[in-house]
Amino acid sequence: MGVDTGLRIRQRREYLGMKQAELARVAGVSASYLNLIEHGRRRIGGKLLLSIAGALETEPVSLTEGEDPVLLAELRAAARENGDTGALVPEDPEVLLQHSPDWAKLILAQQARISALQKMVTVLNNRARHDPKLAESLHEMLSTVTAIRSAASILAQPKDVSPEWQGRFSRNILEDSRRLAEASRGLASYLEIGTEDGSEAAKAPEDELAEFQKHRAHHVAELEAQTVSGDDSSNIVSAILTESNLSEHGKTLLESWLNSYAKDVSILSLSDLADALMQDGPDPFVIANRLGLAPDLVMRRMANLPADIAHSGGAIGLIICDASGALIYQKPLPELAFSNSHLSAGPPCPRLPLFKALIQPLSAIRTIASVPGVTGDLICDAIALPNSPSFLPGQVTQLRAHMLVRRAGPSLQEATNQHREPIGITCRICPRQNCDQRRVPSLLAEPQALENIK
Amino acid sequence: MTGHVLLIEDERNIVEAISFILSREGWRVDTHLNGADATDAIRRSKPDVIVLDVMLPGKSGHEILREIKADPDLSDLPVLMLTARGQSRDREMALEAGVSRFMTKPFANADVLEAIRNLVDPA
Repeated sequence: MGVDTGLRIRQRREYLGMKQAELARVAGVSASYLNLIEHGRRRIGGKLLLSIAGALETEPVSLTEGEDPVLLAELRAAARENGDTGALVPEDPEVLLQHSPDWAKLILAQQARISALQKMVTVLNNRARHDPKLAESLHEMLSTVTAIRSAASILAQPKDVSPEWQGRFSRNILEDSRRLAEASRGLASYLEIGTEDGSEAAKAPEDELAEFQKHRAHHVAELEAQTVSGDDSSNIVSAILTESNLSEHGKTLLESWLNSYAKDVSILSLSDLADALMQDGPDPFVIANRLGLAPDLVMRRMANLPADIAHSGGAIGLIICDASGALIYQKPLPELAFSNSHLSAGPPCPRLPLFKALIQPLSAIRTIASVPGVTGDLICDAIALPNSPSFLPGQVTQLRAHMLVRRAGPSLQEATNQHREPIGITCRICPRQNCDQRRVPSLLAEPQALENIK
Repeated sequence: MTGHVLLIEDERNIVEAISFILSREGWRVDTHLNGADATDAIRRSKPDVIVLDVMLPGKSGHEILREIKADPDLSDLPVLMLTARGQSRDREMALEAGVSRFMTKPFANADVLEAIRNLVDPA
C-alpha cells in the first residue's frame, strides 16, 4: 500500500484513457484528493479502494498487491508499439505477468532489441542498394525481426493463445533470437573485412602492405642477416620489392617499411635482442634503459622477432599510430586485431593506452587491460616519441605512439586487486554497455548502451 | 469479414505467426513456401486474397505477380505484397505490375490483418 498502489491506480487509469477528474467523480472523491492518492501521499483502503477498483474494472487486490507496475507499464507500451491495442483487453498484460513472468521479461527484452535493430536497419538500408551481400544480410535480419515481432505480439495477448501455441511461439522467438544474433555477428564481420572472401575488392596500398607483413610474420630474414653477411641493405630491399606483386603505391609503402626495418636492425641486431630478452624478459622499457636505446625502437624490434623466439616469451603484438591517431602499423594479436581496411567497422577504441601515450608524450605507460570475450589480461606498454630525431628551428616535430601488447603471466592474472583497463576493438563490435567513450551504437550490445552515447 | 487467404512466404516462423492470427480471426489459410510453383498453387487454392513475399526461392514475388496479372482467371485476385527490402524500386515494380497493397517488413500483425480485411472488403 502507498506509492505502488497510487502508481498502479494512475497507470491503470491512464491505460483505460480516463481523466483524473472522471475517476474521482465515479469514486466520489475530489480530483485533488485522487491526485494525492496517485502520488502516494494519502493512504487508501476500505470502501474507497473498492470504488476505485470498480471504476477501473479490476480487483482491489490487483491495485494493492498487483504485478510490478513498471513492468506492466512497459508491457502495455510494448503492446501499443506493436499496434495491437485494439485487440488487447486491459487485463492481458497482468495475466501474462502473473502466469509467465519470465516470458513477459523476454518479450520486453526482445521489444527493446527490435527497436534498436530497426534503427540500425534504417541506416544500413541505403547501403544495401549498392551491395548485394549486404542486401542479403539485411533481408535475413529483417525477416527474423518480423518473425520475432509477430510472435511477441501474439504472446502479448496470452488469453487467446493456448499453452501449446504459447510454447511454440516462445520456441520460435528463441530460435529467431539465435538467428538474429548470428546474422548480426555475420554482418559485423562482413563490415569489418569488406568482402566475404576478401578477393574482389580493390586493395588499398596499406592493405597490400599489411598482407605482405602478415605473410612474412613481420620478420624479414634477409634484412636480419645483413649484419652477419655484410650485404648492402638497399640491394636486399630492391630484391624484395622486385619479387613482390604489390601495386606502385603499395611498393612505396613497403620500401619505406623495409628501410625503417633495416635501420632498426643496424641499431639492435637480432642476437643482441635475443640476449636482452633472456636477461631482462619481454619488458621493452627495461631493455631500452639498460641498452641506452629508444623504447619505440625496442618495441619495433620485439615485433620483428621470429616466431620461435617470440613464442618462448609469448606472442607479441605492436600497434603504431601517428599524431592524428590513425593506425599506421599493426602486428595483431588474435585478441586485439584492428582493421586496416577503409571498409573498417570504425575507428579503434579510444580507451587504448596508445592514445593515452599521445596526450602524455615521452612517458612510459604500462596498462593491464581486459578485452571483451578474451580470457586473461593483456599488458600494454605504450610511449609517444618524436617521429624525427632532428630538431631544427621552425620545424614542427610530430609525435608517433607505439604500443606493445603481450599476454599477462599467471601471477598477474591471479592478482584480483589489480586495476584492469577495459578496452575493445571498436565501438561497432564492442558489447560493453556503460562505456563513457562510446561513439556509436554497437551491433552486439544490448540496447541500453545507446543511452551512453555522448 | 473473413475469407480464404493463400500465404506465399518462405520464412516458416512468419508463416506460422501470420497463419495463427488469421486463423484466430476465422480466416481459412493455405500456405506455400517457395516461388517456383507458386502460380500453380494459386490456381489450386483459389483464394480470396494472396499474401506474397518478394524474395522467394525459385521465383521472385515480382515474377509471380506478373504471371497472376497475365492470367485472366487470376488477374482480379487482390495481392498484398511483403518485402524485407523496403526499397522504392521494389515498390515501383510492384505497383507497375498491379499489386493491390504493399507492406514492408517488419510489420505489425494488426496492420497485416487490417490490410487483408480491406482487400477482401474494400467498403
